[in-house]
Amino acid sequence: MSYCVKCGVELDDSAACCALCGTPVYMPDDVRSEKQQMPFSSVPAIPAETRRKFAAMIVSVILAIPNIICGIVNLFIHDAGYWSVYVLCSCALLWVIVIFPFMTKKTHPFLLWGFDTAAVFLYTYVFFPMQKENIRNYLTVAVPIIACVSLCALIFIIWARGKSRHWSSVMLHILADCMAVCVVIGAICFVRGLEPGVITTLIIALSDLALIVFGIYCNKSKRIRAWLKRRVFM
Amino acid sequence: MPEWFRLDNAATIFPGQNTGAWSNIFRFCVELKENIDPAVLETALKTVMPRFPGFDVMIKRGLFWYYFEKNPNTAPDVCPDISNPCHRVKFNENKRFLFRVYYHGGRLSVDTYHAITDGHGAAVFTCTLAAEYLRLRGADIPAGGFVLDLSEKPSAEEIEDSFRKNANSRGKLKRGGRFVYHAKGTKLPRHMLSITSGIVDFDKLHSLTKPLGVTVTEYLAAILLDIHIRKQRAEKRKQKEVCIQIPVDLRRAFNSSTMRNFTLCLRVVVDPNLGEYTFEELLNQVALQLRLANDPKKLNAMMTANMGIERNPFLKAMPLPVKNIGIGISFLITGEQTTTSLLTNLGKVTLPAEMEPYVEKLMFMPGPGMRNGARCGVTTYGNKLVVTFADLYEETDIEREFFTFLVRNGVHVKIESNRN
Repeated sequence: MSYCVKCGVELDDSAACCALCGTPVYMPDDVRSEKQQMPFSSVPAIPAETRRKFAAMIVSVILAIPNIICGIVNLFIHDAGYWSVYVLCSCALLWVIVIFPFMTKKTHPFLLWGFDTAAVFLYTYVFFPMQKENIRNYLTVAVPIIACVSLCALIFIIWARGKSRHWSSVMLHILADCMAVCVVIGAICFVRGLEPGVITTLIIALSDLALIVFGIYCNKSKRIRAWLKRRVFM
Repeated sequence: MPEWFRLDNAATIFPGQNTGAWSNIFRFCVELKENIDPAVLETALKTVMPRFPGFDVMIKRGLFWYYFEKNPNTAPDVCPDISNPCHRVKFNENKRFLFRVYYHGGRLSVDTYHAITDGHGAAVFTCTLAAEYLRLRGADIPAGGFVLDLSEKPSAEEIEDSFRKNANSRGKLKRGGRFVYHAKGTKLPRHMLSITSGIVDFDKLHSLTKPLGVTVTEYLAAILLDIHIRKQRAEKRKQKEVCIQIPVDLRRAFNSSTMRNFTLCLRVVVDPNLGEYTFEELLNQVALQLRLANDPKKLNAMMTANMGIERNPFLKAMPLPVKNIGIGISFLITGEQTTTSLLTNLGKVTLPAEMEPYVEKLMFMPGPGMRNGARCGVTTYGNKLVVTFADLYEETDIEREFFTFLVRNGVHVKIESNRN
C-alpha cells in the first residue's frame, strides 16, 4: 500500500507513479516484482477508420451512371450536337477536384494542385470549342486567368504548408490573391478593348489594395487594434 | 417481444451524432474478487440475453427514422479488456450488437451505446450478467436489487418508451443556454482517453455532506464547478459561464420500470462575472438549482418539449439523412458547447446479500466528450463510492484538484488509472 506524498491519495499496488501528479512510487521495482495486475488493460483497440476509398469508389460509380446514360441518349438525339461531352467534362472535373483526394490515403498537396490545374485547363479546352469560340480566345482569355489562379494557389500552399498561420494573415493573403487575379482580368480586358471590364476590375483591385494596406497596418499597430476593438465591440 | 421497435425519444438524437471520431458510449463495470473465466462469461451472456430484449437488437435505417430490430446473432463476443474503452461504435461491427463485453482480471465491463439504454439499464444488465456468471461458477445467487430474475419473461413495461408514455404536459420547458467555458489541454491521440478512478470512503463523504444539508451529487458537482471556475480565472481570459450537466433518473418520479433510456439532463450554471463564489455559496447554488428543476411537473414539461421533434408533422416527414444533418448541426451548436462538464451519479447499487462476498466494487464511467474535458461518473456499492473521470486531455489537473479536495477534507481516496 503506497500513498502519494504530494496528493495524499492511496495508489494502486501496481502503480509506478501517481496517476494524478506523476510523482514516482518509492522503489517501484520492488512493487512490480510482486507481479500485481494493472487495474486497466494496457492494450488499446484502434477502431477501423471509415473506408474513404470505398465510399469514393461508390460515388465515382454513381457519377458514371448519368454519363453513360447521356452518352447513349446522345447517340440517338444528336440534333443539338455532342452535348453529352459537357456532362462528361463537368463530371470529370468534379471527380478530380472533389472525389480524387479521397481515393488516396494522403495525397501530396502539390500533386493535388497539379491534377486540379490540369483538369481545369482541359475542361476549358473542351468548353471553348463547344461554344464555337476559337482557340485564340482560349489562349488569350482562359489560359492567363487559370494560370494566375493556379499560381496564386501554389504560392498559398507553399506559404501555409506546415505552419499554423493567424487568420488575419490568411485573410490578407487571400485578398492579395484576389487582387492579382483582378489585375490579370483587367489586363485581358484592356488588350481586348473592353473598357467597362477594365474599370470594374480596377475598382475591385484598388479596394483590395486599400484593405490589404489597412490590414497590414492593423496587424502592426496596437493602437489601431485597440481603437477597432473599442469601436466594434458587441 | 416485438420484431422491431422505434428508438425512444432520448435515443433519437444519438445515431445522428454518431461519427467516426465520437459516439455516445458509456461503461459500467462489476469487479469480482476472483479472475473471470471468459468461456463461462460467454455462456452466462448467452443465458442472459433473452431476458433483455432491449439489448438483443441491431439498429436499422428506415426512410424517416432509425429503428431497432431483433438481432439474429445470439450474443456479442466476449473480449479481453482494452485501454481505451468507449471508443466509437459502428453499427455493422460487433455482430451488429450495440454493446461490448470485456473482462480484465476480475473486472467485467460492458460498454453500452446510449441509444439502447441509460446508466440504470446498463447497471441492471451488467449486474444480472455478473450474477449469472457467479451462478455458473457454483454460487447460489437469487434475484434482487439490480439483479433480474432470469426465469421471468421480460415485461412490456421493460421495453416501453417511457418518454412517449409520460410526456403529457401542457407547458413546454425548452433546454438551452449560452456557450460556456471549456477546459483546454493537450489532446490525446484519436480514439484514446485517460481514465482516472477514485475509490472514495462513502460513509466519510456522507458524514461531510449530511451536516451541510446537501446530497453527495450536489457536493461533488459543487467541487467540479469550483475547479472549473478557478481554472478559468487562472487563465485570465474573458470569463464565461460554467455549467455542469447532471442527468436525472426519471424512473422514480414517473413510476417506470423501463430498461431503455429514461433520464433527463439538468444544468447547473454559475456565472463567474457576478463575483467570487466561496465553496459554501457554490454548494448553495447547486442545491437550489437542482432542487428547483427536479420537480416532476417541470421534468414532464421538459420531456414534452423534447418530444416536440417526434410529434412535429413537418419534422416527421423529413427523410432520415436530412434529419441526421439537422441533428448533427444542432448538436454542434447546442450540445457540448453549452456544458462545461458532465457529472452523472448512478446512486447506490444494491445486490442480493448472497452476491456481496464475491463483488469487490462497481464502476461507472461516461464516454469522453468532444469538447468537455474530464467527464465524471459516480456509483456507490457498499461503502465504496467510485468516481471515474474520462478525459480527452493528457493533463490531469481537474482530476487532481477533485481528489485532493476530498483528501484535504479527510476523505480517504484510492486512485486507479489506465496511465500507469
